[in-house]
Amino acid sequence: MTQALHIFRKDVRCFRYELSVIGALTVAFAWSHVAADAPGVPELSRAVILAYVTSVLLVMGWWFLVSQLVHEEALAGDRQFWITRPYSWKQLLGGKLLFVLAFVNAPLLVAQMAILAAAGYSPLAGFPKLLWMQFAASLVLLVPAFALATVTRSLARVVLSVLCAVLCLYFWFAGQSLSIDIFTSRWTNQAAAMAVICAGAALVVRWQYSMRRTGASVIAGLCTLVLAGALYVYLPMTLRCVVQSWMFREPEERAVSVALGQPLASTLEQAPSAVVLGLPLAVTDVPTGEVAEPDIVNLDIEGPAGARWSSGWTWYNDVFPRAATAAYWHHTFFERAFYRRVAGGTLRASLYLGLRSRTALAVLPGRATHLPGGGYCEISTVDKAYAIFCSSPFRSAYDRVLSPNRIVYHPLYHALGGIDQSTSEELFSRWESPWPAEFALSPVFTDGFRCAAGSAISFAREDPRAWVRRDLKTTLHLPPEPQP
Amino acid sequence: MTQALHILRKDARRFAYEICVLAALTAAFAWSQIVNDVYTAGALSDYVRLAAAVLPLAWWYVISLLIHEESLIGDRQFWVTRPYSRGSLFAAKALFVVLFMNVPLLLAGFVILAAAGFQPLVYLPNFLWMQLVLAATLILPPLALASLTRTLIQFGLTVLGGLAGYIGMLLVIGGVSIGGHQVYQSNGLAWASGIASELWLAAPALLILLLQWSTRRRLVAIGAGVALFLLLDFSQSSLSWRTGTVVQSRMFGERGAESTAVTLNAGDVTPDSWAGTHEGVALAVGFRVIHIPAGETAAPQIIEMTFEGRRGARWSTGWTQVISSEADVFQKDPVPDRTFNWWQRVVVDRSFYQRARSGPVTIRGSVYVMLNARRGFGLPENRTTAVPGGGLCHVWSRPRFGQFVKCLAPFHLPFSASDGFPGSQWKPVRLLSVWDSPLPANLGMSPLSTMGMGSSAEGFIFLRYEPRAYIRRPFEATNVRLP
Repeated sequence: MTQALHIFRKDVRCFRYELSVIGALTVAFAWSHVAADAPGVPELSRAVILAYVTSVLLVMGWWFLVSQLVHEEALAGDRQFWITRPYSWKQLLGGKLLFVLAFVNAPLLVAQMAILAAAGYSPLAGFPKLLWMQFAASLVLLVPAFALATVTRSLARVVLSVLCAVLCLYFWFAGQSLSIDIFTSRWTNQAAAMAVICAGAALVVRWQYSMRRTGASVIAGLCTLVLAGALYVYLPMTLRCVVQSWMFREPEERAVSVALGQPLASTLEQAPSAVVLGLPLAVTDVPTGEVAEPDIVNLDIEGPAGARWSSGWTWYNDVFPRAATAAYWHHTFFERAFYRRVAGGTLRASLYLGLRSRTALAVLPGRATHLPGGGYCEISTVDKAYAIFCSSPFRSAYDRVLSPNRIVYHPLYHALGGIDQSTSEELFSRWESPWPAEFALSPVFTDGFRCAAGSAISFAREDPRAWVRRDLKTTLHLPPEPQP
Repeated sequence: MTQALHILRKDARRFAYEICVLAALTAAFAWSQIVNDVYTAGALSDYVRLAAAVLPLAWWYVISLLIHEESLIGDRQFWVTRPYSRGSLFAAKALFVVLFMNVPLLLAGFVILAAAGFQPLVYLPNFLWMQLVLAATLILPPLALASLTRTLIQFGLTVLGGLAGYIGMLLVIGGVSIGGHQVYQSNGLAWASGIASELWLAAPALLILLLQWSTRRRLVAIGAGVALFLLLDFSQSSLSWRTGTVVQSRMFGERGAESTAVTLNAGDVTPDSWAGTHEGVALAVGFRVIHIPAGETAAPQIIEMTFEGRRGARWSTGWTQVISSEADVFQKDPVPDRTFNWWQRVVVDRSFYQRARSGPVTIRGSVYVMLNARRGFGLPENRTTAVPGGGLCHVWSRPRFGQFVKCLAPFHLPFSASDGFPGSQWKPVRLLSVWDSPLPANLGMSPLSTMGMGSSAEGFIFLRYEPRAYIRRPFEATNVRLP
């Protein structure tokens, strides 16, 4: 430990200028977020822009600092001075980690507490969540930077590697024909990718510090990135649902009943060569105050002549009425020739559905409405329109705004001005993951939008309660092929 | 020149990987702009932003490596012992930047415009202006910084430190207030401020480059650069506005607006609806533009006011933007009585206010007003319509969502504002396109600007405001009682 502290002190002296810059950026980050989180701050105000810019610069500063820190006793190459000294690799690694904790994590924690306090929330009450945010920020932002620095010799190599990684991301994205949203994903995919990245990064750091096998470490790092990317995008649906079922177990057996109705076959004018099979699902016995929503479904069809077809697990594809007893429709398209082979056959279905507890309340103008789980929303009248402002610690107050006749997603359509004439708006919040806080640098989340004055504003939050699988054994006869 | 080409070839070999990465990033940027659609949420918009942000960062990185290859700082460099002409060295580096940064971006711009249905060669002067501005803002400063540093680490630390200091200055001096308020302000001379900002970045950078490459005296170069930077910063706003008003006055003149005047009544001074600052008291001063030519609208741009109290007490705002807490300061519609009113927000120095409020005050000054001729037309559905200003707009409808419009324009915004806010009385939605600059191009990496708008299914009207006259008018009110 003495050696680690010795290295730590040496690094502090060596990087005093860098530390001053990071300190200044952390202060600017906290200050601008405090200013940007206040009610009534316009969306593109200087405070909001500075809050965004300082966050980006702070992360860039961390990457710069971490790469410098590791390169001070570079691990790639064989001409370093330090390998001729009696350095223990564990002490060296300990010294570096201590430096990161002291000059990256600790200042960030202080800044986050200041932001929370300035927004009127108690930092001490949210301390466990703050620690979680630190952990998440370290995993996502610092561990990869640390691992990259261990396999490179200089800052120029780090920058070139990052640029190449960005290019790979571009090409992969272009190859997907824009069909995949790579910047948002389900929490299970994110967790799987992050677990792989952390394991890979830890392996690379361990190998480099203990054995300095740069070639093997680079290969391990690349494999880690490919595997993490694949998991992030292609994590099997069933695995995702199994994890969710394990995390959110059914408190009581068979809380919800699902029954299959008689399928209906129809045609579409736009696609006369296809048959649309509509499968009605009736969900009953949903507990009071909760909503059930099918997530993925698997259909197996067996034709009279032994022809078989399976949909595999696919997303459930209809809109969901919110009621204790509800009928849902799942639609599947078949080519007519194939449908003739399976018509009159039997059908079996399996599905996963999410059960969520729902809390709803009205948001009234002129006073702050406190939200479940912390935070508040308030309505003021600006330019003859309602300006809604919501603030919430550790997670967004709402995900999107639902209007009665259409879904207006937040924030794009509001930014485009594509809303008007609605007489009621629902601030809808759904929390899918079991994590105590969202991944972000600032612990305070603010949202706002405008709508016509006099609109009825409500707030609804759905928290996951159970994730259940139902296998429907009912055997049904498919209807005859409809005529176009 | 032979030596310059020799150094260029050497650098091209040395930075072959970096050049490939730059080319690929430029291609990715062009592709992102081509597939960009304002109505595609999520991944694509993030991708477009990322592509536009990463390319300049990559430029800075390569510029730093390029200059540090023959570092100007220190006295142990290999190249000072060789028969290198500094002119050739500088020419080689400049040629490298032009060849591997400017030219690829120019080609990318051609492709972006062509893909959107515009003829790129028609816009060659605009492209060249855009390249000039980009060189001034994104290439000269890192070139200067790299010539003052020894390594990429020093370069990175200086950039981060400089940005941290600048942000700190904005936070402390600029006064990011806790708690916000909607204000309306004129945007008429933004182009002049933009030019000044570009000059403010480019001129000190150029001076540093010249001094450093000619003398290799770092402290002298830094001192001269900082001095010029502060000098420009000090004179920036007034200089840019003065230049802007002169240019606009020469361009548009006063023809037909000789009788237009600006008036101020002694009773039209009230407390502003938005509170003042610790140092100042916020007042709203009511102005009225009268005798506006028929069918035209007024847009006051900058104003200068002097308050004179008893016993020689005097306080002046200096030239400042027209700003109001009450309503828009841009007149959108001509009115039958041919007038336009606005409440100017003024934060009066608190000590002057305390001294002057007990007696009558005289307010005098002058204001620059743009008079615009307006023309408008409906945008038909399911058709692409050419709009004034050189853009194209396409309108379509989606069941349950209403109508949408997407407008493209080369080198300028297709429209700058709309009436499509919630609760608006305007149905259909009006897209307001205002002449905003005599310059061939706005600052940006892409030559194409895309904007979109949604509304209920009642269509869109495109309104174009063309400047007709630019006037300066004095005003005076005596025996004013401060509230």
